[in-house]
Amino acid sequence: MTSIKIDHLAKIYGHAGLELKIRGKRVERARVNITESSRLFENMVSGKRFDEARRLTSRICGICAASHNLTSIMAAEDALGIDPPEDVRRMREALILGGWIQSHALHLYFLALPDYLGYGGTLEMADDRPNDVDRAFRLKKLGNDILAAIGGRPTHLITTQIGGFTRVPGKDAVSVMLKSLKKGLKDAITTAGLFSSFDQPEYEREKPFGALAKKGAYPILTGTPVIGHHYVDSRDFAKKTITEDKNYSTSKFVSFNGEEFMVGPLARLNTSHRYLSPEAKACFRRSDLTLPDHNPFNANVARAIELVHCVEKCIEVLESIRSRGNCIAPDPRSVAKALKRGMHHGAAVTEAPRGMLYHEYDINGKGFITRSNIITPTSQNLYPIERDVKAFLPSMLGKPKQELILEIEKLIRSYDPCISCATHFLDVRFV
Amino acid sequence: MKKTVGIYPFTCCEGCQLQILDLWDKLVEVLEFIDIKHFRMAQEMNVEEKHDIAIVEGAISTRKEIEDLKRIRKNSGILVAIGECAVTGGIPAIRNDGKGGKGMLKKTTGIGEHVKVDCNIRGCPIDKGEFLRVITGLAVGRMPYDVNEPVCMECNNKEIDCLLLKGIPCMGPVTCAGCGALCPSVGTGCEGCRGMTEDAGLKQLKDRLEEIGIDRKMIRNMMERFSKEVKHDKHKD
Ligand code: SF4
Ligand code: SF4
Ligand code: SF4
Repeated sequence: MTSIKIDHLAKIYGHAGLELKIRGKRVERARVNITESSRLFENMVSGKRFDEARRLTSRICGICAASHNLTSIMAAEDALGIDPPEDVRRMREALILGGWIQSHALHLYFLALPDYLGYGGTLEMADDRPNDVDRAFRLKKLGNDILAAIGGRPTHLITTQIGGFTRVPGKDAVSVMLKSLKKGLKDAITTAGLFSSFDQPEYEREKPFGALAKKGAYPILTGTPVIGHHYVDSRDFAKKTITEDKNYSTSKFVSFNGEEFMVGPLARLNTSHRYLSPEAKACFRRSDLTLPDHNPFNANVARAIELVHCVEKCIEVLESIRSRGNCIAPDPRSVAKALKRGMHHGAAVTEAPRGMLYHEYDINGKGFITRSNIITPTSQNLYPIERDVKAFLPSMLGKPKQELILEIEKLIRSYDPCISCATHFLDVRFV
Repeated sequence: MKKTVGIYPFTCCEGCQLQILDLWDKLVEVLEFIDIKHFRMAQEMNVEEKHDIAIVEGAISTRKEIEDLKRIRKNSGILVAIGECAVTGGIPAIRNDGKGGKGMLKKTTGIGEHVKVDCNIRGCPIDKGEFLRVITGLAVGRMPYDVNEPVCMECNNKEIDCLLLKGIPCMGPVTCAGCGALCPSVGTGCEGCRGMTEDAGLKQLKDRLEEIGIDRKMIRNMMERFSKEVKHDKHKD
């Protein structure tokens, strides 16, 4: 029997590893061991005021900080019955699209591309493939600039508030954003072409998809969670999904009706491809993807297509904002007036770059959070990751161990579990 | 000789490392002085590698992290803590008020709790311009000095209308400057992310916050968010 143990496989707010047990041609065990708890963040939010959570939960993840920040705000708004004007929603969408652009660019160019091209890392590519490296930084910067222009800075936003923004970009800043987005569209399209050109391993395993659905729109910030064919009310998301503890993992494993489900770019593309922006649709048509697609390796192609969608959509959303003045948040003291006696319960599900993100808060009459629940995309993807590893592995047996490990890592990376997860593969031990 | 640099993350959001990555076009210029040997965003972590400068991000929350950190300390000339997580424990250390997780240390702390730290770069996240200045300075042997003026001073210089006077809670009066009053400049109260000044007038600020009607519990939360102490000279060796 062969066992393979990879410590530090992935970092999901900390460290994770992978344990494989293989007997002959049978894979007896594939486990994602996560050694740090995501629930610590829920402890941290408890006892904090409803408007503190947005800045605290932002620190869960530096890459999708904007998603945590806005989801936290939207959950608090849901609890307090605050319904911000349409323009606020649009400004938030433009903001989060900036977050997606930098997150997708980071994953595609810094984590995935070196795998495809056979380099150890992006920085090693600088001499041979300067165009790719330059494009990587341009796209990353494009996303950052949008986050900074609307959110105040690229990481851990500061202008976002309950009900709106403390400050919105001026007319000039908006036209600068529009200009760089229009320029960036070409880079995004090139990226989609590049990732569509790579061969992906032939592997498929059918499983239900989980993604927000919204009539006539590719889901970004709002919509109804749909898992398989079931619509789930946002507020019931935690109740309807089962989160399980594993003795080998401190992260939750999430399932629905006893079944795993996959979230993220491939899930979204499968369920909402009809609503991609025109250029993104064209990129999708030029790719080899035929839907439904159940090859997790293709998530990178889906991600690149989404990148095009994000850039195009961001232009559309920014241009659709009627009055930036409408985006200014009400005085925090008037927001506090929405607090009534007794408990408030609220939740929000958004699409983060890696999939559905859920924040739920119980807020008491004084505005303090008494209970919270945060379900991240990565914890929803843990079952699919484990099971894909288990199902994919037999086709790899017989290959040299180093190659086998690299392929397994690529499979896990295709889920983009969280930035460092993908580069945190060390201390690979064969026991 | 170029100085070799390694960047190591522990328990954190890796937001500080992202700031460094976003500096890339500028880093190319300083790459004349320094050679980044290890950068987790691009390679895997190898604690056995020797560096002139080790840059550590993140708080320490497990025994394994203590071991790795000690190795990094042993293998490097200068050790720099970047971001509040590494400097004081930052946001991950808030958990010390609640229950811990499986396999975790009783307390999550900054790295200074376990090893000697030569230089701290504050903030959550760090300011990338400041990072560049400090690292180029270190490469030629210049240590940065600590800032002990409050953010208010920067508001003053930039002629920003004081939020506290308008009834919006702000930690600026007790927080180390250096960010250019980033939050107040966009109308948001400072949350104290660069740590407290040495002679911070906490009592006055508390009184002021109460005057503008901020709940006592909220005041306590505000004061606690980034107020963990920096362990400076604990590890003289
Ligand atoms: S200091 Fe803040 S930004 Fe930096 S790693 Fe820690 S939580 Fe993230
Ligand atoms: S806004 Fe805050 S930092 Fe600025 S002067 Fe007022 S209290 Fe000080
Ligand atoms: S204003 Fe305060 S919270 Fe904001 S960046 Fe500066 S020190 Fe940090």
